[in-house]
Amino acid sequence: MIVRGEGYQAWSFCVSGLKWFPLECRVCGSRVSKGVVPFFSTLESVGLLISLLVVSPLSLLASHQLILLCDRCGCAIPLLSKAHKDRKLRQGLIFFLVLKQVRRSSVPCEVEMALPGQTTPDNCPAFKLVIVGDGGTGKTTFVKRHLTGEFEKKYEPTIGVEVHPLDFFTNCGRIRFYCWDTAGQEKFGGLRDGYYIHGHCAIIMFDVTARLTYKNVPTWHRDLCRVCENIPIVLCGNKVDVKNRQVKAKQVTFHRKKNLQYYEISAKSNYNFEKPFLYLARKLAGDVNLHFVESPALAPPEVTIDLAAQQQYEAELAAAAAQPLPDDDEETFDN
Amino acid sequence: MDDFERAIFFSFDQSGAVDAQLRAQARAYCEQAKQSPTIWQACLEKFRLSQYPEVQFWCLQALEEVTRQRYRSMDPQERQFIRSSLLAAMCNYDVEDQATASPGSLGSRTNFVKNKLAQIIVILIGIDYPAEWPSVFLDILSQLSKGPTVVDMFCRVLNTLDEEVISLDFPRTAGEVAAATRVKDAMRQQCISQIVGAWYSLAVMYRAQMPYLAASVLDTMHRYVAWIDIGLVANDSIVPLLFELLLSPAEVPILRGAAADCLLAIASKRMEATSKLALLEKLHVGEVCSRITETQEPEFAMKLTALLTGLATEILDCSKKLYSQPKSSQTTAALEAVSVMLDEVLPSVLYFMQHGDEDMSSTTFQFLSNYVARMKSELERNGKQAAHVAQILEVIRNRMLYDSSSKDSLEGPDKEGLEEEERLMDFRKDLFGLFRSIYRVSPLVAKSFVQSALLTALSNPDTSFENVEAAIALLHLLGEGLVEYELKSEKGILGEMIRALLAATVPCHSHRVVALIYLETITRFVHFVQWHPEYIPSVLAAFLDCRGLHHPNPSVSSRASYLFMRLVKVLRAQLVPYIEDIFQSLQDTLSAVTSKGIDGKGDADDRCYAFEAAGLLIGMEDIIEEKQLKYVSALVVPLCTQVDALLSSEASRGDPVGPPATVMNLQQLILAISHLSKGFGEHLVTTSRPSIGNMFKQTVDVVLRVLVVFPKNKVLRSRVISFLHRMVDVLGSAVFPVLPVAIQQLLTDSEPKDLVEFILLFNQLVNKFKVGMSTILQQVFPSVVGRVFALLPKEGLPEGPGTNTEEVRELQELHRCFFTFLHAIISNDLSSVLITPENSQWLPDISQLILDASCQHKDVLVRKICVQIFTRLIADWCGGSGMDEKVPGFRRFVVERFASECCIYSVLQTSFDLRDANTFSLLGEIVTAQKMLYEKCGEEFWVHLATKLLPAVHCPPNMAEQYCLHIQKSDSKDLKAFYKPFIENLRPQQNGDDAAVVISAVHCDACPHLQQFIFSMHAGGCTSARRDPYFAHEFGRKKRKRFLAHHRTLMEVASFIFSVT
Repeated sequence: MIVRGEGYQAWSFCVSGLKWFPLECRVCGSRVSKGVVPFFSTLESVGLLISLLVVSPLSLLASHQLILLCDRCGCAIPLLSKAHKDRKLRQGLIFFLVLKQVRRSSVPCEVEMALPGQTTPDNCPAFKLVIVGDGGTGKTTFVKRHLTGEFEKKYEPTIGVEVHPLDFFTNCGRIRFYCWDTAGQEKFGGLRDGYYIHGHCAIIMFDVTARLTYKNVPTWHRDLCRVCENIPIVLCGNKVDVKNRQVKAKQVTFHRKKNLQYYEISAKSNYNFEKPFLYLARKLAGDVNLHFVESPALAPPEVTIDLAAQQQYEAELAAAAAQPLPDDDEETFDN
Repeated sequence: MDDFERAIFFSFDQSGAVDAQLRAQARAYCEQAKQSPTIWQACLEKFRLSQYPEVQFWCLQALEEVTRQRYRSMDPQERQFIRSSLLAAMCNYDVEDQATASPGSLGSRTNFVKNKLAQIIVILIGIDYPAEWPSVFLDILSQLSKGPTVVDMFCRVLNTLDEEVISLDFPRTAGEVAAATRVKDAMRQQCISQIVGAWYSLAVMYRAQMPYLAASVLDTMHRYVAWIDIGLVANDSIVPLLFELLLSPAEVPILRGAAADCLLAIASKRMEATSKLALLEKLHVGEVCSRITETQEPEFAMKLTALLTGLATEILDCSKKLYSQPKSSQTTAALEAVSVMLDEVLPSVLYFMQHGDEDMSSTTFQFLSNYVARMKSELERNGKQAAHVAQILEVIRNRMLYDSSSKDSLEGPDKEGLEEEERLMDFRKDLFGLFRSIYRVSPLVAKSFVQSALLTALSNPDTSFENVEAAIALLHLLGEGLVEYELKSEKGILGEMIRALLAATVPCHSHRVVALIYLETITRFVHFVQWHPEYIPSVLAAFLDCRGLHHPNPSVSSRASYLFMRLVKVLRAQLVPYIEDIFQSLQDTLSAVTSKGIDGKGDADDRCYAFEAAGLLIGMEDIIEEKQLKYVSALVVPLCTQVDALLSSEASRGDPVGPPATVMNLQQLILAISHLSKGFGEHLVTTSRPSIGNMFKQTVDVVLRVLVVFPKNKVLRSRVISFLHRMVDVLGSAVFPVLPVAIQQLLTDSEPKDLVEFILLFNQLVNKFKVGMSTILQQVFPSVVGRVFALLPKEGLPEGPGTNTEEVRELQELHRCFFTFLHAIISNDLSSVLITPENSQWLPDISQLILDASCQHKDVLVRKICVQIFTRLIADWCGGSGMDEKVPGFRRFVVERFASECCIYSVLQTSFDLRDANTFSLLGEIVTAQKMLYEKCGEEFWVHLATKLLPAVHCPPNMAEQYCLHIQKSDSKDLKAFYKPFIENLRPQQNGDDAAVVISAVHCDACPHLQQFIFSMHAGGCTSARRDPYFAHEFGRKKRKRFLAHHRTLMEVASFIFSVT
């Protein structure tokens, strides 16, 4: 068993006694055999591996006990089998090791999600979260609701992007999302879609009061998936607190086609703020039972959402949808 | 690593390892490099040689820019070179290092680089195929034998082609759609059969060795099925292969899923019913369905459900289409076949609905709803279908159950409980939709099903909570949309069920979800109790004891407060004998609502409904005054004392916003008084029992102090406004004396939102007290109008993308609200307020604002209001002869501006949709306004119309004559009937807005200089006109939208022009 690098002693005991198994990539089908890791030779590929794990870790872990050796930096990434007794430990491994490994690798394969001056606390797995969507859909307002993230954000004028570290406390410990918010400069400088590179998860945002922003969702999704294949994505319809919405919940169907998660949110009222993060955290950890143990400090709601009205409205909608359409033609006003 | 690469690296750096200045330099260097005319050569070269994905990606990005911007203007050789280099990059270079890589690898390039490469190739295909680059697909096909790397790229290119060029899922311009058609046509003609052939052999070749590659080949195939000849895929080689992959448990799930996608795409191909039927028969649908019932890996199971539901939907569709065809032996046979097929698929669909994941069911529900609706039209419902319905109902009941393991967490509810609740509520939306469809088709079946479920649940004291809850929830669902009389005459099953529910001891009643649904259901069927008063004691008990208002769980008791109010509203008169008891029982709830330090659990606002319930009970005239007064003071006095105490407390001093706890408390107290007052009628309070009125008057004084103590608290302010709304209703004119103080407080430092709330309150006052408000209005009017004009941006409300913000929305709301304010004033005979010496300074601005809105506000209803305002103002101000005008200049304004801009120009615009009901009624208002104009301004209007306006819009003389005649002679109904075709005939005469401006310039008696200017502007585009307000005025007549920004200046200019000419 080869374990190198500092910080790995703590878990090295739980790796001993594991067998070597080939690891198969779910996407390309290539196999990683003992000692030689041609496909995963670059850290980008390790990033891919992470996406594989996080997209469907259970199916991978169900039958395999895996260990992966990076031939570039020589670091080992062990993955325990699902059968391992201590669930927390198992998650801890997926959480910490894989990601730590990614961040510790050498230049030029470096995947650093923070900006200068931001340091990720020890033992806190961190993910790069890309937020995309048309201008004015409320991406910035959304991330700014999280107060600690807002406090620690760093603006990087040369990339034209603000990175907010958003921390959440789960039953498996703290996790951090580095939220990359383009702050309305969707088409800045030379990076463009280069800014999605190494994204671990994403949120596509549209505005339920502006139909065009929903129409553009497929384009955002396509451009995102071109760079980040197989990452968990949440579709968020923002501004549901506004009375005269243009995109009704029933009309939102894109997520079904692409198997995304959809949430209705209202950044102004904090409605469903945690939902997208919880979903992503669960996907990234591969644990459907993961939950947040404490709420993050949020900015106080600026509007209150009338939940009863919202539910009533939805019930009415459902009832209306169930009614048969009237037979008579459109009324004419020619008299 | 060379300098160029390093620069790219530095510019991409996201780690912070590179100094910001250095990175900026690197970025500038890269940007500069991009400007070089030969950058594409450098990029192709670098892309081939560099081993770093970031560098490769950057090169491709630069190439992408070149292909999008410059490619079309490059010479053919260069274009040829780019194409062949990219194709070589796709097929050759990567293959070289495949030799050294381990078997099964897809090359060293990372996926995002591969995808980017595919994207650029596709952009070139979009431009050059087939004219300049006819061989592209054939070239790629010939390279497939080089191995998996090329196959992988082949799939990526075709997928990208689908997404970037062909697929209809993305918004595309007309030009892009044409390009898509061109590419598709060429491919159909040239190479699609070879491509399909390649797909087949690749799938066969790699299914064992590299199943994921085989899966991506199939994934590509399913995207193309919709537009290629169906015979290419629905044939004896591909279909059996797909089935084999789908049904073989030995294959990896992703490959099986891809096969399912392909089959679904084939089955969903659009074609007419008989060919579809033949296709479905060929697919052996029944066989598939019967063979897959084992539980699956979730992602595959999802695709499988989609396939089954898709097949079932297609079959159902076929049956519908065949049914509507003329009867013949053929169609009968076809229908027979369809119904056999349908019976074959249904069990599998139901199986997956029963066992499947919740995400996958939404399309299934859609299908089942359609299926049930379809049965309605089949006259004899055979036994098989009845069995299916019973099965569906059973599945609905099973799936609507709470998870029994979450019993405890639902009780709290804790976080997990809430999540479970939310999940289920979401899921039930679909389930209940399906239930409703069944109920509509066959109410009796649905009712007896619910009855048996309910009786089973109630009869056994050990029934688990989730079964009890589900049974009652189904009964609740049955009560949806029930009308009162239905319950009166209800002797049937529904009545029996309600009786059973009221009489029985409900198992697990104390559990939160059961207690809640029980109360909801009783409230829904309250009219039953109304007709059967013998149940009143038991219903009251359920609400007042620990099953309702005294339930230990605050979320139940607070909801019970609200529901109790709903109950009391209906049963009010019948509850008189019980008042004493109810009151006693309510006492602690009422005092708990507003007592300090509420635990915050449950919904505090909901709890306040207990006061409304109390108010409804004691507000009846049946109760003698003395007793009533006792009750009211018992409730009101403590509330007022508490408000007083909070306002005078040490903590509130010197804090204009107030400490949060106090604010919370005050909100509840104010709400409690408002709610309480709802039980009392105005007549009772003001006339028959003034002593009660006095009690409420005191509350007004107390509550208004809130504004004084916490002037900056917007939440409280808004609460006080709602409170005043209530008090105006209850106390009537008795509220008058406090108004000046209240208004003054409410107008200080008001933002758009506050101002809107204030205006709404004021509208209520004006509508209620009419001319009685005259004095107050005169005082308030300047400050309201001043504030509104200060808040509304001078250049008009921002429009277009990016302006969809909360701030803009608030301003729009204020803008709209301001018109309702004016409308309320004017329609209540208060228009004289606008022309008092203090207020008349606003008149030009106001009339301009109304005019603009009446012509082009995007909400037709607002336009209607504005036209109504004008009609009324014309009636009020334009009477009499031209000499002694009541409002100098106004007559001229309406005749020259309103009559032309609103009545003619705005109506002539094609955006004025005469088929829209609202717009049509707006047209009616405009006609009424014209009648009024003629009535009041007579000849002046008529002459302007005949000599200037109508000629300016190219109105043929005979039509103009008719129109003028109608204005003079017809009533508004006839005029409207004439006006619509008149407008429609006139529209084609308009030759664009610009031309109309020119024409109107010719016809208007503006100075020659002005005319000259307009002609030159028309020739040279209108941009500079915007900067010149003097001339923009003339333009503004027609292009008001563009020149809205200037409307304020325009008013001045207008008066200037009028004074000069």
